[in-house]
Amino acid sequence: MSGSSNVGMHVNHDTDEDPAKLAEFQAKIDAGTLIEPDDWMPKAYRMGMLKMAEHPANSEIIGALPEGEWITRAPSLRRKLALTAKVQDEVGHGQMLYRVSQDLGKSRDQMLRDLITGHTKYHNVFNYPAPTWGDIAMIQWLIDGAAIMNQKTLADGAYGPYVRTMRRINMEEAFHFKSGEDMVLTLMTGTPVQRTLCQDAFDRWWSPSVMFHGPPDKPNVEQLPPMRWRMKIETNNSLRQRFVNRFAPAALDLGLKIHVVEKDADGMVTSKRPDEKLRLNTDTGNWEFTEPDWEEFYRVIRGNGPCNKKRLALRRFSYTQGCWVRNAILQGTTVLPPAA
Amino acid sequence: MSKLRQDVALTEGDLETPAVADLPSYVIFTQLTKNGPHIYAGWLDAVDDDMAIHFACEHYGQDQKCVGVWAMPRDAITGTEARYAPGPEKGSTRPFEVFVQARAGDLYKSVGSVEAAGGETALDAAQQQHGGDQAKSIWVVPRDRITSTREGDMIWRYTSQDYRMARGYSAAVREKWQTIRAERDLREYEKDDLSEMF
Repeated sequence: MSGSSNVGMHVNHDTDEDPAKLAEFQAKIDAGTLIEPDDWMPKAYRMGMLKMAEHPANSEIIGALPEGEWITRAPSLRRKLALTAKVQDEVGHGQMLYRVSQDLGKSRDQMLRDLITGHTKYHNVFNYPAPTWGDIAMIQWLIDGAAIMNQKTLADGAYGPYVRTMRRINMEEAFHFKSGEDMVLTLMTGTPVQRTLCQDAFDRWWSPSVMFHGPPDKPNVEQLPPMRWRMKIETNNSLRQRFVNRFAPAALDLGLKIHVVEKDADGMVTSKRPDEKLRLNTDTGNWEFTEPDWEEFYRVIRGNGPCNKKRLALRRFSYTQGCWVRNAILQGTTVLPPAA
Repeated sequence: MSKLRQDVALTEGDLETPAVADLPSYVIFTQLTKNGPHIYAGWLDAVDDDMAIHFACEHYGQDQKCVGVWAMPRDAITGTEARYAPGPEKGSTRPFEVFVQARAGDLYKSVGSVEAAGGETALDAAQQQHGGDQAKSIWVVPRDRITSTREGDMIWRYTSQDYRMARGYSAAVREKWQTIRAERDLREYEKDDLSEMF
């Protein structure tokens, strides 16, 4: 799964462009015509789309790390096969999105290096720990569920290569989500130990899931280039509300309790209380909820989440260890692999 | 979890490992039914044709039932788009496969072949025979630059792969939900599913 709801917003859109070409470009977007790589596009659009593709590509390969840790510990052969296939899918999504980014002007190696050295970001949600099998179930149900909501809208975007890639990715995300749903249903209809494990994992993942679609929107978000150019289709707030409307009642029906939690530096819950704001507003049809802790969101983005350093260190380790393979492939150099 | 993962050194800062150039790009087409067209699947990077076709089968051949895969290097494409410039013309003719993208956003599909001495003449022939001015984009690729799986090659596995398909779970999941939720709530919840995948 990936996520890019808040990407593309920090691009300088005020670069000089030919007004006639800009108007023609906007007319194509408004008419629903897809933009192909050889079509004229504003510099800011190219830069924005590069971010829109590079950020989820980074997220895909980092997101595979916490799930990969659980392949050897999956509780049955079928779950092990499914998790292996999912991790393979996620890394494959990364390769497809890096390919889209390469066409927009950045080399794959540079993207990998920028990720490892912290020059580019990946989705915040992968900086949280997955200490039990229940966390793997929650990642697939809540996080993949949130990602599908986002990616369905991105597949209606305006940049042809990105749209085609998203459609293909969505085909596989449907499996990830259904598999996660099955895991959550199995745990919540299981033994008291399984239900407790599931509730504890839900407590760890509910808040990061609600934050998944990015911070509250600026008031004029729909007039800004990312939405005007259909790089981004739906606002963060709207996606978040749809997410809560779908998952809060489902969680309650499953017997899960929705808490507001406090966590320690390792991302483990230290205290919790029921979300007293949680209720269905029958006038609007929307579920009301306690806003997540946006200070935590920005703290994690700045690199101070429970697992930021660990995730990047593992990616760095893998990149460094793979150096001899790249050399052997690219230069025919025969060298021994480094000691693990 | 392995100790290697658990005890990985939390190193930060610049990388000492040298940067490398990107591998050559290949575009991949998959054939979903025997005698059906080859349809654009996506791109990948590979060091040579052999690696490209193996990677393609693994990466693009596993998410749909698939009977054939083609991999072709980017530099073998001549296209109506400026970035796919033609290579040199040669004396004798050879077959070129033709791929058409009907409208912006559509997937390229193979539509047949033309005989030509080079990319430019092949593209002219393809435009006359297969697309004219109607298509958004046309590519031609010399057949001898296309690496193909052979008939009988196993791409889609013979064992059940339900575990990696949404439909492998949907009936069981629905049945479990039905013991917990009212039909109306369940239908509302399912609205955000990617229903076309089941």
